[in-house]
Amino acid sequence: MVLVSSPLHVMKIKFKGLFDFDRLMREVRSWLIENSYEFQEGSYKHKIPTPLGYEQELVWTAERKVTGYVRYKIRIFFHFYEMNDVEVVKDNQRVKMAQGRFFIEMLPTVELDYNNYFNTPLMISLQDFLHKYIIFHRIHGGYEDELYYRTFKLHLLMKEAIGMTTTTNAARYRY
Amino acid sequence: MVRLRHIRDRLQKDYVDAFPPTGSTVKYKDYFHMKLFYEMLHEWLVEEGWCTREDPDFGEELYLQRENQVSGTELWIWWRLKKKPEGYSSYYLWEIDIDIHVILMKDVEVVRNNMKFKIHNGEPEIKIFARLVVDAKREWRDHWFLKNFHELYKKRILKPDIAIKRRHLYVEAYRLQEMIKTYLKLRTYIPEQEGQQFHLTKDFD
Amino acid sequence: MPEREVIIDKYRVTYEGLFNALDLYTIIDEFLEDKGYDKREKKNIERVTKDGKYIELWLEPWKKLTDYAKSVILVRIIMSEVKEVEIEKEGVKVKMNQGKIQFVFDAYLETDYENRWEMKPIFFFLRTIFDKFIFKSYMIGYRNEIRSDANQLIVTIRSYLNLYRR
Repeated sequence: MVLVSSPLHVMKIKFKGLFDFDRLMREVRSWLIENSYEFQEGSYKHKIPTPLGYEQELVWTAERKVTGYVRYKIRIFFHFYEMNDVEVVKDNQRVKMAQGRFFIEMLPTVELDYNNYFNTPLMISLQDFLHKYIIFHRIHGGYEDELYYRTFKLHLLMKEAIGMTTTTNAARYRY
Repeated sequence: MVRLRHIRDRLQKDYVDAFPPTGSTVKYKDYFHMKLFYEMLHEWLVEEGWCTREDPDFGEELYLQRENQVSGTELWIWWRLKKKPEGYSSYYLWEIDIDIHVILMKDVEVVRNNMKFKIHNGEPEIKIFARLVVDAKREWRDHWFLKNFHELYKKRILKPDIAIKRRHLYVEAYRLQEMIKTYLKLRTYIPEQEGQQFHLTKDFD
Repeated sequence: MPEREVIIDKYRVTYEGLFNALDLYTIIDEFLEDKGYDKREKKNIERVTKDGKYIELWLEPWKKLTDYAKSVILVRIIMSEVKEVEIEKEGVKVKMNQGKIQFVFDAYLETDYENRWEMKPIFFFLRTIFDKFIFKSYMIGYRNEIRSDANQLIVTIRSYLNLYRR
């Protein structure tokens, strides 16, 4: 089978506590747009609040055309549980924050031949040869690496926006 | 004469049990929240790669609910899950069967944040079966040449490998059991806590 | 067909006392980057509790040794009851953390990660025979390299933690 979509490793963040909900969402969206991704909100589910709080589930996808043949895609899945909006005093100012637990999953994928140029059986076998032998290292060592490390930058940005402790990235100079 | 057969005979699989063949059982009787418990288990399985978030892929083979005015609700849930662990060849496959049986389940109300909240009181019993399937695609046993060597190959060359892979599954299955115990606030023994700090427990903390 | 061979199985290090969570993470991250490992952060869990922060990290960096073999180190770090404290170090006030840390290290040798030998069961058979008997010396070399990387990481972490041991 011809490889036309190459999902990379999933990155997961889980957090339980107080955080700035608006900042997180705003910064992620801005990062995607600043990095020339086309942002799409696939779904936004809000469930009836229970005494524990409200629940939200969001699916965001971001796509960026790299060449006429290669496209980057980042799928971000947010699931917020037991969320409660609270007001806290920070530096003598009242700030709206959210209290709850959530997880974020990011799945970067390199998509090949998104225009579906190779569509006949002969062309498909040629494409297989192309992917396996001619541009194999360009795909796995080049495009995949680039997308993977760029997504790590978004990962770091998320951690900073949430206020997590481990906010550093030794691979920040790559790409 | 009646021929007795083991229930797993129908699987026609070559496997090694990671848990005793009778499974490992967690039984509990007190209050809990069925929906949160179900979601927590599902979430753990998604996270560990046993299933995806897409419902058709989820191996829920049975969901039976019986209502009785006197004894309350009875639930039977069977999950049959498979996983090809990362870094394993397709020769191996992990399988986990989870049987959830809840009896005498009744709604009870608690007050939380000055609001009434429905939870359940009942007797859930969770059984876990875990096995490492070898030659998962039957490629060896159905091969005209390799089928002659398979037993020898499995018992001599792959023996230490199978033992290690069985152990990995054993660890993972115990992590799942620990997750269940954590939710139900039962005593746990694994040195690294599993999910103690992210998922809710029966007391919602 | 990728195949993982266990080199280090659940090596545990525990510590309780003063440390700096961000510094500790940076040291691990930079060590792996310097050694040529590709970064992988499988999970990052953080929770704020009344006893302090709970931080759990699952790192699974990998390094390609050849086109056939790669090294994978799995580090699970569990920091619990992490509180912020201020200490005086050479007359200067420094913010540190106080808490418990638990490390679990695993290391694997992963072969055929490009799935070049996945096509037929006969290839799987041949590959096992080659790995076990013909390329034995190469495999020993890979194992030693992975063991050495993992041990160096453990020593780096231990020496960092020893700095703050009283």
